[in-house]
Amino acid sequence: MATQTSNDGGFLNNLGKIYGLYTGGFLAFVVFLAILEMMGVPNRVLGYLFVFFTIAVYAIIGVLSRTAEVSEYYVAGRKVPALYNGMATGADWMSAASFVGMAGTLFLLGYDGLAWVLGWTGGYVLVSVLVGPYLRKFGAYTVPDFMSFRFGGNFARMLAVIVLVCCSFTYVTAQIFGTGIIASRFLGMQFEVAVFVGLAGILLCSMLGGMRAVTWTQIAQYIVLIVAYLTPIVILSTKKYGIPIPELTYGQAIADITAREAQMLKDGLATAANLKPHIQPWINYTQLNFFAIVLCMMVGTASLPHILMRYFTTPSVREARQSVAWSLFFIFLLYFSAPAYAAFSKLEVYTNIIGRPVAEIRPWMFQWGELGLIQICGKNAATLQAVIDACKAVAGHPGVVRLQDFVINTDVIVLSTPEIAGLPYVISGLVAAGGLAAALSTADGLLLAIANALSHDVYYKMINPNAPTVKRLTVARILLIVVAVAAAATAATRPADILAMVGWAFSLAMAGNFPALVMGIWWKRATTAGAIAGIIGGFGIAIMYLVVTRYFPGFGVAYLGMSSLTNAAGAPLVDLAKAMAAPNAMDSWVAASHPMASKVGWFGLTNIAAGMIGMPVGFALIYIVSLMTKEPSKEMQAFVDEIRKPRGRTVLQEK
Amino acid sequence: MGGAMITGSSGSPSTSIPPSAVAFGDSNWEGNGFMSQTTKDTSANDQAHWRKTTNLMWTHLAIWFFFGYVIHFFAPALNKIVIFGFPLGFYMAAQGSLIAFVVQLFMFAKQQDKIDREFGVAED
Repeated sequence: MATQTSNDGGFLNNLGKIYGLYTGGFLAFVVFLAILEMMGVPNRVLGYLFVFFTIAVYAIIGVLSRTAEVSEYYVAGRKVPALYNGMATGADWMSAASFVGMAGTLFLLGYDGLAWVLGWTGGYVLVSVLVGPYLRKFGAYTVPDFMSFRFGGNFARMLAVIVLVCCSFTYVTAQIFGTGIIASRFLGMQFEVAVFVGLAGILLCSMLGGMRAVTWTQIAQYIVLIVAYLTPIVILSTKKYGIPIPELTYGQAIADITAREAQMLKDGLATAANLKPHIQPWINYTQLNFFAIVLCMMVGTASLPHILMRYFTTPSVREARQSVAWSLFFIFLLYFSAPAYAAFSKLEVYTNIIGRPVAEIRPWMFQWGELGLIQICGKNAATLQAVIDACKAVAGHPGVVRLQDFVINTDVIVLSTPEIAGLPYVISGLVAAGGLAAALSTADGLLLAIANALSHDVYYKMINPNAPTVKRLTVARILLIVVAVAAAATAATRPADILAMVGWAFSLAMAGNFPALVMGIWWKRATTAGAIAGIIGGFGIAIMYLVVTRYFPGFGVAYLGMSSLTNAAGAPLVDLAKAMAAPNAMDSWVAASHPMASKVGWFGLTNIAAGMIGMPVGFALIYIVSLMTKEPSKEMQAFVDEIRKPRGRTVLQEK
Repeated sequence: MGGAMITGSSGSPSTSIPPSAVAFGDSNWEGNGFMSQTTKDTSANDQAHWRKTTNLMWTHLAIWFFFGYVIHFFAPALNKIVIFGFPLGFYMAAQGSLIAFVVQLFMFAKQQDKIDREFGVAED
């Protein structure tokens, strides 16, 4: 360990210099590709260069960070400084959904989409105030470590592993799916092939060095993704408004959108039914569901193991707290820019597509139309002629594009902004590299969380406690590959619910982990029986709500007293009397297109917010059952005291 | 992690964890190490420390609740106020609350550290 530390000393002391050089090198690489583009190198080649060069850099970092030490493998030796851990957490956190999807959601939902922006930032307050620093003082390798120690051993550990695997696996599948989408879109690879190429990139980063390698690659990935996200929009803002701060200038775009919305209604380009004013709250989600989603995403943040374990890597409890603040700062840089993307794109669509004669629409969209991501008049907008023909076929079409003629896939918003702004292809390639960095870094963190739980908690703590270090690390690496391949195989089947599942992961983490973590730290009286009842009850009812509302809606209506969810105006989404009389009413494992799937529930609560039902049950059970059972031993109470004080050794001394 | 990996019986409440895998900071709770100061003074000090920590926790949860929820209940009314083109209700959800969370977290790290130092439980 001593030699290891002195070797790392040079690296750790020069982090600023190293990552500064790296950033400079990356920018030089972008400039170099821009020059290649001017010299006439084809776009396809530039795209490949971007993707392979960045993945190669991550892989090199991954290989250089290989380690044979357990504490390096699981918690990066606990010496990642607060600021850098913040960057790594930022990359860990921001997935393909944040990078590519967030702006699109805001485009589509306007104000209501901000539920995700709020929910995916505010949770860090809970991480810092309630959970993270205490787990750092405890000194665990994994979240189940804490559950097991505080709540009487391997049964609690097993439950925590189940919760962890349930919420992380669907999430990692979504990331690998995102990698496939980006690679197939920019490199023209077949989706299934792209998924496994992405997988190779992920494994190269994490397999040899575990947490240590993932940490140093995630920092590199954060730099790529934030540069990629901000560059196009800063240029766009400068071009349009003369100020390179899009977060300030998009206010003007919002004012223009609102004015344009009124104009479109007046000109008959949109109807009151299909136009959803951008700034008006609670027209896509009911007010209840808006706030429920905000709460579930926030509490879910403070319960997701792949995020909590990032704070195990700081040198001290103090730095763990600072690190949470830095994490949110780095995440904030992207999230407060996402609404600007949405506003600029919407203004472009509302002024330069809607209301234009069909023959004069802008050519930037044809590339996306070809892929089926933009449709006009019900057909893919692949060429001008295709659009003209499609609109001619619509009865009574005025020859001008109306709002109802235009359908856009939300992924296009971020990916097409460089073209809308008239920027060279190299910027589009940069955005693709950024999206890839976002997907890879999150996938790395999640895979590591799952593989660590299986190797450390299940194999080492439960199956073979006497395993020597070499064997433990070998098992950890093999499990990493197994989980990664399983996730890639699942992603390659393109499961239909993939995006909804990311939301579900938060709700499940919230219901399963949050009550036990918080009560375990903040209430000495919480007992083993209480925690076990709380985890089983809270997680159980949340997963039941999800599964019944999504896959067995007829059963829920018939036997569990569920009713139809309502839209924002208060009207039911489905006519239950009619739907229940239909022959498919009691079908099980129904498809997403089933008339009742995800449209029924209790209290009008969408199943993304299932944690709203599970968490209170979890808290109540822990409280009641704890009071009914004997209070924890003196030793256990002393142990809780100990994690509340930053000073002193970690409570758990892992080997 | 200083090398002192003490194994052996630890008085661990969870007997299912093999003693070789887990050890408390020291080989027994009443011995030396961090449990040596369990005098009345330290426990009074600890309690005062925890009281202050708890108060800080509630303060920050209140701020979090205000910027996460309360202010957005008034979004429709706030939207009537427009600054630089931004309706205020929209602005708060898109940027205002986020800025508040970031500032709050840096403040929290500072304040909690101050409390830890005041009661002598901060790390060196």
